[in-house]
Amino acid sequence: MKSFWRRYAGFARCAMEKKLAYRNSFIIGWMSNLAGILVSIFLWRVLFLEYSSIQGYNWDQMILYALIVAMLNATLSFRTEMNLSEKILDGSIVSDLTKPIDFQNMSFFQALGESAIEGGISICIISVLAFLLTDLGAYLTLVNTLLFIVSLILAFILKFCLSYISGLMCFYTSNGYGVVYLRQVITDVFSGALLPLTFFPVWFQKLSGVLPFQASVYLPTQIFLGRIGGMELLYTLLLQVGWVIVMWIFAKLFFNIAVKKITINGG
Amino acid sequence: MRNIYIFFQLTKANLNALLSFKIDFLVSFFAGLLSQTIGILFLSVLFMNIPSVADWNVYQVGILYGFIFFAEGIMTLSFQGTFGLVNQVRSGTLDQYLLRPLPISTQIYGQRTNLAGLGTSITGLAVITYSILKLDMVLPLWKINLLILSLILGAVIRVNINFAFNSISLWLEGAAGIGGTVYSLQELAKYPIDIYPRAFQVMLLTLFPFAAISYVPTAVILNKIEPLFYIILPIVTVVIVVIRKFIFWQALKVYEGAGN
Amino acid sequence: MIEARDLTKEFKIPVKKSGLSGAVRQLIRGEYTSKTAVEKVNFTIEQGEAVAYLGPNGAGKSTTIKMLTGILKPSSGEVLVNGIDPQKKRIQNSKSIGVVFGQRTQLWWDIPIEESFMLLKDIYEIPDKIYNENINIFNEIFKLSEFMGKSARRLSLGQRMRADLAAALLHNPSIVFLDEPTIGLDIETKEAMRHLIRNINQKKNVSIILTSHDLKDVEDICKRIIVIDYGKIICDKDITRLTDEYSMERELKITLSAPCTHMSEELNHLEGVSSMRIIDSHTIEIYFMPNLRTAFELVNLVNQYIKIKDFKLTEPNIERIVEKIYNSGRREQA
Repeated sequence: MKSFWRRYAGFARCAMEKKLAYRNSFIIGWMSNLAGILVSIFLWRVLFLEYSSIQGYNWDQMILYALIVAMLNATLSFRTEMNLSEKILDGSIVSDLTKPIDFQNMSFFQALGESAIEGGISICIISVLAFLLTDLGAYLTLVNTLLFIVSLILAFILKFCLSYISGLMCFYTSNGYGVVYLRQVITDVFSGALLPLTFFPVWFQKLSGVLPFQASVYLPTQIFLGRIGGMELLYTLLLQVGWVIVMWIFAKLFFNIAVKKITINGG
Repeated sequence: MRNIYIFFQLTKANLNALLSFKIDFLVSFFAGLLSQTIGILFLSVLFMNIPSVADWNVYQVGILYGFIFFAEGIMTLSFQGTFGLVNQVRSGTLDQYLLRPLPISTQIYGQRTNLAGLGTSITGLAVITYSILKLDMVLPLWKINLLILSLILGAVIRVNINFAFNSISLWLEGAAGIGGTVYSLQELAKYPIDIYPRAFQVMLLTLFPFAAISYVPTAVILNKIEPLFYIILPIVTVVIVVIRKFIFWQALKVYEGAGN
Repeated sequence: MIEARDLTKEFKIPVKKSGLSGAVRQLIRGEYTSKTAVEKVNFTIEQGEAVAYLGPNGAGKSTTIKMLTGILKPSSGEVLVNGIDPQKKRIQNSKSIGVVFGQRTQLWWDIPIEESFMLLKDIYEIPDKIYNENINIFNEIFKLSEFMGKSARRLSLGQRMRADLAAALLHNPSIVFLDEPTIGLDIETKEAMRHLIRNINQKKNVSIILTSHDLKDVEDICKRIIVIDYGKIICDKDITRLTDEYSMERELKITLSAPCTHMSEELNHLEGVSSMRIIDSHTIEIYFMPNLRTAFELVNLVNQYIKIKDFKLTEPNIERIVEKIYNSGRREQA
């Protein structure tokens, strides 16, 4: 067990150091997230002047929702996702395949390392904004925060699985950018990244319920905002765990199928 | 002009190259169509829950979206070369451009053709048409002409904003990434600028004139502001083109003085 | 005709400070050091000359070439290509020059070569007659027709370099700049490239400016060598004059029957020996002046230390000559 960590932790550390070196460009890149946040702020400000609550959300909750979504989007960023696609496309994956390591595990730890920095920076920015714009304190109870962190971790692992699977698509097409973009679009639509899922028509909510995406964005927000409690809370966390397991295994299977393509075709 | 002819020849070659990768081609095209789905989805779902924003209803805001989509689409389709100027310098492409008997800007324009942009502009036009129909508006001829003119000028402004800000990162070292940030600001122009504080309104009409692309023509067509204000659009177009030429010229001068 | 007069290029290099605060300070009030890449370079190249422009890596070669082709603006001095400033009248100048970069291609990557050529035909406004004539020449010398239909991506390095050279010559430029045109190529392709370059130089009186680390290229194509080091011209002579000047020296290559260890100090200090090089554990090369020390003497001397298996005596080749030029230039610097 210890050797497992030692082997793979190295990847995380390397990735972290690399990302740390480029943290400036990441921070500048964060500016583009701000535009979306600005839209949310002004849009909802105008709307909440007229209505005190929309679909059960008030100003605080709506802004916190948008901020958490922004943070989740910034962690395991587009750039990190592209790394896997690029590896496959330029063939450097071959050197990874000849090593005595599990490719999925290695990719996970690399993503973990990069996302640690991305997440760290994002949390700082988000916290400042949340503190300035909302009544953040009301939501930061100990139990709430702990459960939220657990949910975040699960959401992160799930997001990794989804982006890993879509990255594997690059065995079949060399339009890496397009594939990653498509995945993000699909995820955004079904995960509640656009708007809380309760805004959508019922049939849509049901559909989202059976898809894995909402476990990567929507569920953590609900936990933080304290909108679910008791048994439902437990059930939500279990659902997240379930999706993580399912997608992880699916990714492994997909990898085994896709990698045959190299050995047959020679990259 | 000869430059336009060469631009089309380059575009033809780009399309030719794209067609040799069938799957990528399709992925590109669909990515383009779907990319606007998010925006439209957000818009329709939002308005399922509220009737209007600052007195604009869903279809009126839809027209704003349509203008932005169209301008964005044209830029992606034919002018994506204006991104990543810094990368082009690093890879030596700019050197090659300097050695050819063509204006550098023409070569930059003709560098990439991305069909995703076609999907986006078509979506933009569709959204505008649909919204106008749903609003039960009968447009007099002058408004239709205005619409077409605005679409064209909007595309010009969009390309030049992109080009100008990407040239800045070439001109001033350390200003890298500013192109991406400015890009995201167009999101703001999808909504009536009435919801923003005064400072933002001015900024969106002058420094980052995305609102000139969407708000100005839409508000005139919907009779929300005086038609006289339309003059902002052509003025901004001329100004942004001039500024872009200046910035790019400066960036080239710096490059020719400093090399790689 | 190319004229370079007191051509100088200085670069301002920012002094990089570490950390975020350093980067901010750099932006506000940057500190720069100045590096002179090229210093008061003077030469004239007449129409039809084939000139090799040589120098160690970092000597200022590519900087000079960039100024000659109009890519870079000189800090001082001037350059005139066919009477015009290549940087100020960029578009006009580019019509009469052709450039080949060994490491990069100017072809479009994913379309057939013949379509790349058609694009160039449009860009350079090449009349049909000249275009067809040139394509014929290329087919003849390069067998271009064999791979015209393939895209650059699918060509082997040899094919791609040939296509690049053809592309640079398509518009009948009066001056051609070649930057490492044969790097990484097999013998057959190298010969074909040299053949074409010689052909246009002699038949069409096209000026050739060649940079290459393969001195066989230089020998085959060029009549004149200009050597630059540390930004300054240290040599500008005809090849025949150079070989005459250095013909006094000889090279003795000795294969030993056992590994050599500390022979070098003794030999190097011997009168008449210019220098010595250890190739591997069993082989050494000695450069010497036969009027001061005969080959016979040297062979005997070495044999006394270690029994000799074989030896070879040769006249200086161009590689050795250029190496000596670099060395004498550096000695002057120090």
